[in-house]
Amino acid sequence: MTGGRPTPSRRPRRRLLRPPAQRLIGLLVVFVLGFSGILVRLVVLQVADASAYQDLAQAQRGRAISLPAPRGSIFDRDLHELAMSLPAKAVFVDPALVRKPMQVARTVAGVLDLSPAEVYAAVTAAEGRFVYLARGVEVETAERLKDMKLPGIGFLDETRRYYPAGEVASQVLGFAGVDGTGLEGLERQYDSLLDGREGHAQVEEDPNGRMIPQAVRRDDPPVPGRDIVLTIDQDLQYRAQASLERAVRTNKARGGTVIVMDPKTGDVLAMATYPWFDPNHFAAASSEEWRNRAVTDAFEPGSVNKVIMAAATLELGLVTLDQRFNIPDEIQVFDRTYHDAHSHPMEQMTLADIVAQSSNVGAITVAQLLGDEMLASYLYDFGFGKPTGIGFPGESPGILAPPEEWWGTTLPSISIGQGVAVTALQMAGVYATIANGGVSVRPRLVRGTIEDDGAFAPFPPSPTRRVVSEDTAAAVTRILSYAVQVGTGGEAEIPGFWVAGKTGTAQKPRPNSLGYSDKYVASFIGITPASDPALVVAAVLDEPETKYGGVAAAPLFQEVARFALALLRVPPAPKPPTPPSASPAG
Amino acid sequence: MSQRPFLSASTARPERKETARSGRLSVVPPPRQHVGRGIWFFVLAFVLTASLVTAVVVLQVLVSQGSFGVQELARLTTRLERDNGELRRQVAELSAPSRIVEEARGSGLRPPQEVEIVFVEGRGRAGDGADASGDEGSDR
Repeated sequence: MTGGRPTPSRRPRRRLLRPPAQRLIGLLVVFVLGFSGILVRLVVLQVADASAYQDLAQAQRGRAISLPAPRGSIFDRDLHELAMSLPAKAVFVDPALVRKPMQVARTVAGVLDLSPAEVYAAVTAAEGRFVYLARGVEVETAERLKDMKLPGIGFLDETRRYYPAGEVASQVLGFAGVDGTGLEGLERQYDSLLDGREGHAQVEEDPNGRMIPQAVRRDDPPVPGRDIVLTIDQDLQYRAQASLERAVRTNKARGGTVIVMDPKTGDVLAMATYPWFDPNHFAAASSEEWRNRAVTDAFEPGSVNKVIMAAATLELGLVTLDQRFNIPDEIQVFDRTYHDAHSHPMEQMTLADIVAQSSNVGAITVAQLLGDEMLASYLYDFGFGKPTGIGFPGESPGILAPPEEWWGTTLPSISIGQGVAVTALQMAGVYATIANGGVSVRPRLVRGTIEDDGAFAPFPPSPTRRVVSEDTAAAVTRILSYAVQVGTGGEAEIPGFWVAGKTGTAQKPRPNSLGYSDKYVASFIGITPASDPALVVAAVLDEPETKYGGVAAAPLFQEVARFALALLRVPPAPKPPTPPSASPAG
Repeated sequence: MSQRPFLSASTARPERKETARSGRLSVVPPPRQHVGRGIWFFVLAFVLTASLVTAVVVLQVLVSQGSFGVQELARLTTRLERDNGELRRQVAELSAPSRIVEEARGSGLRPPQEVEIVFVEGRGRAGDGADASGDEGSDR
C-alpha cells in the first residue's frame, strides 16, 4: 500500500477494531465444556448404561407373547375325534388397575358364570398383579368380556381340551388339566406325543396396546402335538357302555366292565367301565370313577379260569377229549373241602362236561394231573402275574404267587379261579389266545399316529407268542362252545354265529380278613363266531344281585357281541363240532 | 478479520491520473453473470432432497403396508383356525353316537327285534353241516 493511512482518531472505533480474542477463547471454552458435557452424557447413555436403557425401553413397549401349541387330537379307529384342543382364552386380573372392584366382579362373574364372591376376592387380592379368573374360556365369551373394556382385566391365548363324545370311553381317554398336561388314561400315557411345544413371540406395542407393525418381531413358532388313532370304535364303545349301564341297573350291580377285542390283532375295540364320568367336567367326578378298572383292578376270576386248566392238560396230553372222570359233588384237599355249585351224585364227566357244568370238583381233579409247577407255568404263559403291556397308566399285573410259595390248597383253588387275581383285560387275553389258535397277541389301544402331512403312520403290529398248539386251541374252543350250548352260558348264545365261552361266578374275598364275603363277581367271557373267531368279549359285573355269571353277565355279553358282529360285518359261521360228552345233554 | 483502510478522496485521485497517463487504459469486460448457477444448485438440492425424502416415505409406506398385511393375515389365520376348530367341534358333536341315537329315536327308529340268519342250503361253510341249517341259524 502506498501513502499513509489515516489512523482512526476516535477511541470507540479503535475498540471495535480490536480482535476479541479473549471473548472468543472464552466462548470456545464454554462451547468445549458444553459439548464435552453432552459427549460425556452421551457416552454414559449410549455406552455405559446402554443395555439398561435398552431393557427399559423394551420393557416399556415390548411384550413377550406365548403362543400356545395345540395338543394333538385323539381319534377312534374310524377317525372320529374323541379328544380335541380348541382355541380358548385365559382371563386374568391385575388388581392394582381395578377401580370399581365390586362392579367389575359382578360383571365378570356374570359373563364367565362364576361366583361373584370368588371373583371379588381375586379382584381385590392384596398381593401380586396377576390373578387368574378363569382358564379355558370360550373365545366368544372372552371376546364379549373384552368388548366391555374393564380396566385391569386381561386375556391370554391358550387352548382347552374338549371331549365331544362326552362320557364315551372316558376312562380310556382320561383327561388333560387346564394347562394341557395329561393327567389320566391315554392322555397321560401318551402325553409326550400329544403335547406340543409352546412358541413365543416378542412384539412391540404402542401406549394404547396396539402392535407396532414395523417393530422387530422375533417368533419362535409353536410345535403342535401329534394326533393319535385308537383301536377303539366309537359306536361299539357307546353301545357297550349303554348295554353295561342297563345290565348294571337290571342286576343292581355295583359296577361292571366290558371289553371287546379282536383276537387276531390284539386291538381293543371297546373298553367300558361303569360308573364312568364326563371328562369335560372331570373335577366333578371322584378319582374312583376316573379309574379304568378293566386294566387297573384285579379280581378273582372264578370259573372263567377253568379254561387254562383245560388247555394245559390237553396241550400236555394229560387228558383227551373223550376221557371220562368220575366226579363227586365235593372233594377234600388238605384242610379244605371244595363243592360243586349244585349237589349231585357221582357222575361220569369228560373235560367238556366239567367245563360246561362248571364243576369245581372236576376242575380240581383234572388240575391235580398238572401239578403246581406246570399249572403255574401255564398261568404265567397265559399272561397272569404280569402286565399285559397294553400301555396304560396304572395297569395291574394281577396276583399270582410263585409256585414255591404255593401250599396244599393253592392248586385246587387256582384251578377254580380262587387264590389268584387278574384284570378283566388279562382274562380277555386268555380267551383271545384260544381264539387266535393258541397264539397270544399283546393287546393294544393305539393303532398309530397322524403325521404332519396328514398321513396315518401305523404302530408296528403287537408282538405275538405261542402259548398252546392250534389243535389244543381248537379243542378248547369246541369245549367252550359246548359250554354255551348245554352248560351255564346258554344266555350268551348267538344262533347263526355261535359262541364259545365260559361263565364265572366268583365270591369276593373279604377286604381286610381271610375268607370270602357273600358278594360276587359275575362274568362271562366268550369268543364269536366260535368256528371262525373274530371277536372276544368279556362282560364282568361287580356285586350283582343276581350273582350267577350265566344269568347276570351272559346276556350282557350277547347284547354287546351281537352289535359288534353286525357293526364289523362279521359273516355268520356254522356251529362248531360238539366235543365228546358223557352227559345225556351233550 | 481483515481491516479495510479508510481512503480519502485526495489520495484516490492521483492514482487515477497515473493510470490515464500510462496510456494503457482499456475497457474492462464486465464480470460474467453467475446468477443462474445458484438457482440451479438450489433446484438440484431440492430435487435430490425431495427424491430422497419421497423414497424414504414410500419405503416406509411399503414396509408398513407389508407389516399391516402380515398383521391382517395373522388375524385371518387366527380367525380361520378358530373357525376350523369350531367346525371340527360341530362335526364331532354331530357324529357323537349319543346324538345319533337321540335323533334316531326322535325319528321313530327302533332296533330290530328279530334277526334271522338263513344259510343257503349246500353253501354252508366248514363244520357240522347239520348245524348250518336255516333253522339252526334263525334267531327269533
